[in-house]
Amino acid sequence: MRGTSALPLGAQALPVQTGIGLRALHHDDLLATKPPIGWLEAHSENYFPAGGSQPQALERLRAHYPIALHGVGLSLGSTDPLSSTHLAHLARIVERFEPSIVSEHLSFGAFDGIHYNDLLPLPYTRECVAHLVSRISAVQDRLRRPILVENASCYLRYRADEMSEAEFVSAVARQAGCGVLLDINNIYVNARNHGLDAQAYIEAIPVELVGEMHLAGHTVNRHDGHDILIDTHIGAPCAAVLALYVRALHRFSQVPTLFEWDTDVPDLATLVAEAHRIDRVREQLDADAA
Amino acid sequence: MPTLRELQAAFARALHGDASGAEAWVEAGGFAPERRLGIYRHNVDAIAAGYLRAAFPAVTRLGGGDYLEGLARDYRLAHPSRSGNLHDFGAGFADFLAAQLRETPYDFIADVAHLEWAYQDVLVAASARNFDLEAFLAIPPEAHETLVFNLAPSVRRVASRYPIYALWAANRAEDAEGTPIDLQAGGDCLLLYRGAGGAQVIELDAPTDAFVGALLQRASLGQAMAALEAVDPQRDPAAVLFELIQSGRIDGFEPA
Repeated sequence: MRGTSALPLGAQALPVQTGIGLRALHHDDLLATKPPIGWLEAHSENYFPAGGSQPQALERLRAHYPIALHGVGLSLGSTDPLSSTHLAHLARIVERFEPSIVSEHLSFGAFDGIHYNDLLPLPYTRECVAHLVSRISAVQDRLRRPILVENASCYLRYRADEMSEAEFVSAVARQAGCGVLLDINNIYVNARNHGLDAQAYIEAIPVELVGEMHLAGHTVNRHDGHDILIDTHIGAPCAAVLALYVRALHRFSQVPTLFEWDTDVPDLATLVAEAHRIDRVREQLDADAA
Repeated sequence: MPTLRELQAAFARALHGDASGAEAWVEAGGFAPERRLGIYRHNVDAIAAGYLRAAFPAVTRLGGGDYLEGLARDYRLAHPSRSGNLHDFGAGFADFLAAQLRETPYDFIADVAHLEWAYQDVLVAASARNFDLEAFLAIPPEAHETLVFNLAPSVRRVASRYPIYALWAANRAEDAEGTPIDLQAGGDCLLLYRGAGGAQVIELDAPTDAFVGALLQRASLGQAMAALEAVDPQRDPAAVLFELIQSGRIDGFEPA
């Protein structure tokens, strides 16, 4: 699947460029200056309320930029029943804003009715693959379109794991008929945290599954003499993540990339400049290949 | 091997402070399983605290220091989030604070929290409809008092024996200087709503408060007028009604 292959009628295709995460504090600046960026990714839950300035701003912005909706609260991996309320809200905003891409996370966030509003890790087991396939299929049936699912950052691994993370992500996407939103920073974070080969991970993901990539910054914490990388979405991606991104571009050259910065969010000009810097990485690669 | 459900149950218990069940199912990898689970517990606490700081900026400043960091965990354990949409998480915070601060010199902070939550609610409430004046004028005047007027979905009323508006205004901005406020300066009765210019907070005088209070309880116009007249017999209820309609704070009506 390519990022532009699963569009609902009327949606704009996402260009093969770098987009930025849409945050409310940038709404006015974006509308006033309309900087040249490829596209915008909005967190789905921020637009669930029907009233107020947020949905109005998104309505206006989508006249100028292609939009993707990225959810953090559907809890695809939870063994609680899928929330029909959450899904109804998501279906409503998908219909309203006609995003080019709808995505969610391969994680769980709720148990026994309590939501932790975080992306909690799943075991890489056949049972979990089957569970996710069933849930993603239900979501896609409700939305009447395929979604992308994002590999999550993890600070632990389970003893129950039966396959690698790359095998897990690929199996879920293949069986559910969805695409993959490949977060390059998360791959790097997990590789460092668990001693894995990040390049091998990227090589193991089938090209045709990937519809979007994410790039972000992380934080290195030290505990008990060990570094642990936390996916904080702060700052620009480090040189090692950018190098991994270049490797990913060799495989997934035709998909859009999102740059995420969610902690200590900078002004719009800084975000746009960083998105352009990431665009130049891709452009240089294209020029070298030509 | 645990089932997925069993694994998630143990993980959830770890987020509540008991990692004994989940530890055995987590790879150590040079780093104790309890510490790895602790990263998630810390993240969940940090998410709760970050959310509360953003939704309750004046409470954050009035509490000072790491006040909310300390409270966030107690709050999420006492009032866990029931939605994948984090916005809803703050609904019980003001009542939680009120219970914490009851009979302390800081109980005014809970009232500020009520105002801040009402403000958050106003920001995302459904939009008001256009009041159908033509339909209203078509109703015989003698039937007006039987009608029930609908306040716009964003309308909220917050009252306190403390000057909560001044406390909020002086402390809500990130760079607020925290101007001292005299807590004995008298209380506030406030109406919040979202108009064309965004969220608004206005002070209600006593007669209007009585009128609006009745409407909030779904009283008929006749009952709301009686409530107003009980406070101020000289006040014209029609003027109050039409001001509320004109400002968009009343957006409809229906038979009693």
